[in-house]
Amino acid sequence: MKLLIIFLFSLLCGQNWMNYLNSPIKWTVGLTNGYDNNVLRLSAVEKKDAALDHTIMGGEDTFDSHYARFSFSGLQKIQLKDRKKQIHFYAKGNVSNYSQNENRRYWSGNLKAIYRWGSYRKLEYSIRHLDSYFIRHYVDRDISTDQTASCNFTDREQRILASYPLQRRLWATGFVSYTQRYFDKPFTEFDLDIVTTALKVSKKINGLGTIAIEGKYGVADNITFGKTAKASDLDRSYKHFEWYIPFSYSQGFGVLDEVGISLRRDVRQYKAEELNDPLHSGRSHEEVKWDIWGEKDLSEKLTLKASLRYRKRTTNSQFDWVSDLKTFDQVQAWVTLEWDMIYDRY
Amino acid sequence: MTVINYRMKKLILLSIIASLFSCMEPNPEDIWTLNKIAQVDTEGYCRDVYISGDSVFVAAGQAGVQLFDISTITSPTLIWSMSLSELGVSKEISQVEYKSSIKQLFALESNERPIHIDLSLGDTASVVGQFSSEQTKEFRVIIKSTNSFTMYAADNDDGLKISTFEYDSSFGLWFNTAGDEIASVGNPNGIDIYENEIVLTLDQLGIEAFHNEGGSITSSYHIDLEGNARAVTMENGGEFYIACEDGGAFRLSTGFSAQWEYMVQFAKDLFVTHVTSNDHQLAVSCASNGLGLYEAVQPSAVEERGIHDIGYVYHSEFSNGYVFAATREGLQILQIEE
Repeated sequence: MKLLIIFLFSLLCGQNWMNYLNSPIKWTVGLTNGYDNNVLRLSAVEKKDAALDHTIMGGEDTFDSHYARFSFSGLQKIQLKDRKKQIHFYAKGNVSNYSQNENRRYWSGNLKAIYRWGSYRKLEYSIRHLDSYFIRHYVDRDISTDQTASCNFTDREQRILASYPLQRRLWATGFVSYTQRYFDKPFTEFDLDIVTTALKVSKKINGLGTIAIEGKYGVADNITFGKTAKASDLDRSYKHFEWYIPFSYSQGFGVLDEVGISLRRDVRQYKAEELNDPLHSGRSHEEVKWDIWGEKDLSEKLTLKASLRYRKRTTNSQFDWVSDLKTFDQVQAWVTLEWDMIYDRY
Repeated sequence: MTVINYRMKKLILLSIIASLFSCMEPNPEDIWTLNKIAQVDTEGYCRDVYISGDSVFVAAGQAGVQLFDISTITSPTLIWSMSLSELGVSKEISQVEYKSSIKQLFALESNERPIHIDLSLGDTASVVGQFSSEQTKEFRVIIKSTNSFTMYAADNDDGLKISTFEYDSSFGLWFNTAGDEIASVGNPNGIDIYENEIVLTLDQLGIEAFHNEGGSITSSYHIDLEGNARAVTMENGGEFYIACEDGGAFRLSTGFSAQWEYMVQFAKDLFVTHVTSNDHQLAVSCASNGLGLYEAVQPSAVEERGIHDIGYVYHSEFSNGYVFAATREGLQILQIEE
């Protein structure tokens, strides 16, 4: 795909396509230290039960954990013959490790190919991969009534995104994405193909910062419904709608160069309607995430970013005990130090 | 030349990146699919099933005994039934066994005495009578000749009960010509026979094996097992599956002695009431937990292939590649897809 894009643009602009690759690459190395107060996303009821039933914890001793993430990214901007037009290639890889939860060790990464043809005008193709991300231990209902196993999933998301200006300093961004969320054995009954569409309108305000509003609608298809044993008797397909409002203030705030705040609210409605299964029947949840962040350029090459997130998921069910069992909150805080480097051998 | 090599490196790098663009494939699981071919309502709980060609005899609990024709497997047809009053009993029918060579049907009134039904008279089914011992939990019928059979019963209060019947053509009646009782270590509640080997399940006390040497039956060995041993299915004289309720199930090879060659416990958290096998396929009846599928892996392992929620399963049998499940929801005919 990427080769094809380069090749087609090369033909259009009449240059030898390999010549385009001879441009500097910006490398960035990042190290994140963070804290998560509820790694397994346990509700208050589950935390209480964990004292008596250690299987809930999956062999771990604490609800919270410190985590570290190492990231490495590269950005290559290729200037085309027309000075307004550029092609960007971006790649990033992350390795994450939770110190107090040995199950949550994973890598992730993303690749992007972007074609820009002016301010706020871009067309982007990206692919994101999250590898074997641990959620928690669940009972493997396909083979047992009490035997738990580690539940991990892998995400592969492909996205096409377009951005276009509406007015001066006002632009719209829309995307369509296709996410394959496939679980590791033995929890393949949760496998989902998710199609998401989103539209975001952003406004840059002189002397202040940027504010945006985004609406997102997604449909998840449980592709393994009825294809394993007992555990797949339930259709885990769902629809969700999310809105997101970020605001960043870029005029300096104390020692910080930029600060921001965002609110995200996601409502998910499951398709499952199994009368014999009150735990899942007609269940929905609403998730709210508050984020605040600040950024400081320590030097030309060093940047420090700090973030704080509060997340609360409220589960709705006709049964109070289901709501109590599946409602949780979580606080995450992290600091990232990034070091930029330029590789230019030309 | 250097430029070409450098460009080639770029090309390889781009090719690797491009290959990542492909979609993922879901992870396959080693779970067998269970397709429902047919389900018929038996009115009472379907407690047991016995397949003989295209005929399926059903112990239909309080609905008595029923016979279905399965010449069209997708639509079993009820062709005959006998209610409890017609059978002359009052509780429920928990087991059924038909011997086609002598056209005799045997049914068990739960925890009472077996019932003998003569089906050799064309369209008429006549109850010959009840025999053997009260508190019979399970029985097996062995045909000696066209006019003789022997019933081996797991008699909960006496041990192994043996009753031999012979047909007297001059009277047109079956006469009880011989019988014996052999005390067991515990109270039997299940039985199976393979050639000259007999195994009884003894509830909390595990199993006891007996050897039949020319009509002389002696105890061979006793093995205690976890849980409540309820039903046994013999693969051969020394290898069998034992359903132990809360203790799950066991695959056991004894080599004709109490010193087992191997003993594998499986379905430990399921309430196992019966195990049946078809080559490497095992169907495990798990009461309210449904039907568990397992694979018998040689030489001695058992691997999970999925629990299927088909209702409350008492018992199941394989026939012609189909699984016939006796459930509270009726008789279900299923097919395993590996």
